[in-house]
Amino acid sequence: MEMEGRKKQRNLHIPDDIIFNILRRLPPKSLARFKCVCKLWQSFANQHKYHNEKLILLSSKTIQSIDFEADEIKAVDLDIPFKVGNRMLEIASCNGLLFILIEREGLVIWNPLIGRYKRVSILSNHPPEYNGFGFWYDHSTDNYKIVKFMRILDRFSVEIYSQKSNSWQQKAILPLQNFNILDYSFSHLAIWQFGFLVNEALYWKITCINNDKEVIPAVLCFDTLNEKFDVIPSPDNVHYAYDLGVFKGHLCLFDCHEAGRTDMWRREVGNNQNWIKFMNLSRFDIKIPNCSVKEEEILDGVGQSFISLSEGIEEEILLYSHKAKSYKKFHIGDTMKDFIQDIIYIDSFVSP
Amino acid sequence: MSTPSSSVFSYRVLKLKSSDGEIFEVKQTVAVQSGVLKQMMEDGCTEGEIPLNNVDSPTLAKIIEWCNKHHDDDVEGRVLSQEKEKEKEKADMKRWESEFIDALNRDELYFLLIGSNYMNIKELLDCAAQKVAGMVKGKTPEAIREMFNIQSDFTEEEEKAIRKENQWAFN
Repeated sequence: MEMEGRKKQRNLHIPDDIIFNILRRLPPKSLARFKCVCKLWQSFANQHKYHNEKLILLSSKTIQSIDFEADEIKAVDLDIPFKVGNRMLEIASCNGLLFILIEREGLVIWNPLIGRYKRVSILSNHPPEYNGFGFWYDHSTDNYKIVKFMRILDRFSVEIYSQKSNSWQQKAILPLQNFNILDYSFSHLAIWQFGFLVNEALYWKITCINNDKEVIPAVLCFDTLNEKFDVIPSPDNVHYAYDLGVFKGHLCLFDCHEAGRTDMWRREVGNNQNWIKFMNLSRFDIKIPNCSVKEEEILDGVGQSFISLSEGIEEEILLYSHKAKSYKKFHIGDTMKDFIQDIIYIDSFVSP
Repeated sequence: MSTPSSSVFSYRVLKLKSSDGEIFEVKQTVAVQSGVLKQMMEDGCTEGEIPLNNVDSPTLAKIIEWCNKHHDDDVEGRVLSQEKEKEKEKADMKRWESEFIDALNRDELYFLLIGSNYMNIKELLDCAAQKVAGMVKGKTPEAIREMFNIQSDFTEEEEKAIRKENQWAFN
């Protein structure tokens, strides 16, 4: 009798919040498969945001992913569905999409979770001396966008691509004014730089000329909400070999001293946007830290000289724990011989 | 003598009445893990029997077993426990939790989800939800519908289109 009573209750409706509590614990692949269960499950899956940050590593021919929440932390080769004829040069991520610049082929936008990709041409009439790119998701129009600015002779041409229109539109022509772009990528063919996306603004490192006519390091900012550029001075006395990054929702500047010390600056948000020095790392063998940051930890995918085999050092990546003030090392595999860059990536179901 | 001191007060018991009429006596210090009972205690309305209409007696027994294990009535007595001991206690508790959850059959788990949600016991609800997530993650949509007693509200064409769109997730 009792079991029968319980069986009857079994047909009771399970409250939606219990269903959601279960669904949010599922891996992306299961959630995508369950979209066809019913409309409620589909709408949950479509709106769900994943928070598990993965580290993506780029070399000229391969892309690897490291999932820090996996049982075994290791770099796994991603299965690239598009043809890579020439070298991959640079990578950025936004809302589950990877933006990859391939030499002489343009941009590929790829969602590695769902396996779809799209090629975007970046050809222009005049070969530019410099290309800057930035990627963001425009939530008001549910549409991702790309800003591209090119230095052609004495001016900057700015174009914006939107996914919905699938085309580039000329936005403005910036006079060169008093800023210049740091030549820091080392290709004979083109010089490019991908911006860092932080709190709906994109940032690139540049130089600018101050009132005393001195060339000083600075940061170029593009506000994605009003689509306007601005120049931000770097903190005083910052060395030229600096790098940008993101730390807990703040723009970060890593100032690398020749002595091997790296000062880390964080830009405050809100009305009082000052730079604050919040940490320094002391490792003499890091030449150019290429820092991505995962919550409490700073991941140093360190410069070529450190990971190349010719130095007689294993290919490895360093995980710096701020809390424990120590480094963990792990191997990143032979395909990463010409390691270029590491970025943080979060899964999504967004289609490119 | 008749004025209850605070320590006497904390050892008072609540009388919980399950949906099938069984009475369970639970110490207030244990019952406080339920958000619903905690609120009732703060509002001073825990006199007499407290009816829990969504929780039957086997489920309520399980819930009380969980709460007894998780409550700590002598916190101040052992404040200076070492880091290592704490780590070990944490690991022991994790093991106990997974054994507790793993021993349940599907129906018991289902009633525990409903009961812990109704009584607002977050840790137990999360633990049960995690268990169910592990059980369902490899299943087909058809098996999910059967398991959760869900009728599809898509047309055949709609369902076909969604499957096609998410083909990668079926491989």
